[in-house]
Amino acid sequence: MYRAIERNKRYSIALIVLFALIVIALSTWLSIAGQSPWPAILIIGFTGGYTWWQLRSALKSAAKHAGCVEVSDAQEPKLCRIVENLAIRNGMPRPKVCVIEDAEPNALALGMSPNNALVAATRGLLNSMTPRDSKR
Amino acid sequence: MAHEMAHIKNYDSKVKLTLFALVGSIAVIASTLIATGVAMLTMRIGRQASSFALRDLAAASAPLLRLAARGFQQLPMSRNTCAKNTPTLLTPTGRE
Repeated sequence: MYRAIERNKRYSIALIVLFALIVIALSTWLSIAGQSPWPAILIIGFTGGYTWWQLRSALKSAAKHAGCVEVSDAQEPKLCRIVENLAIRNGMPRPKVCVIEDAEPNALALGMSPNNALVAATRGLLNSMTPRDSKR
Repeated sequence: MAHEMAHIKNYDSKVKLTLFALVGSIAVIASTLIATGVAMLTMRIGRQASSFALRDLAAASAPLLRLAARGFQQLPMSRNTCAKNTPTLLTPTGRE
């Protein structure tokens, strides 16, 4: 499992580095073609700023696209209890709990780290859970 | 749910979100570059048109306009009106 964690961290960094290299190469090529440093400065500045902002807001953005609605313990006590038990068992902080209003039974997890993550379940999954499942 | 929690613990969701963010950035940057390219192309065409094409277009269209006006004058109903309102028809060179 630790290998998987290390590998995923490496993949994340490699993706960002690859993206940065492609942007730098493209902007340098445009600057050389245009004989001006401004295309490179503008593209690298804009891309860097926008990507940083996207990485910061990726969790919110992805959750919004998936239709996640955050719920409290009072609204969904069964789901919150399951998530809390699993978090304790895994030795990680409890992620935010969300519900997606969809009839298909499904679940998803999003997050940059265990400290900043959310777990969502569809309404179909919540309705299909047996009392035994909810006690786990 | 345990499976999904394992994604968070193993940082699978980090790779997924990073990809999500980078794909979004690539889409926006591509759109911006295309818009910039179209704008530069339009500006270049506009500059060339103002320096060459419009002058050529004016010179080329003068005989056509003259011809159209002459045809218009030859219409029986409009001859008098044209003669009253436009007694002389000037070409771009100033000759009648």
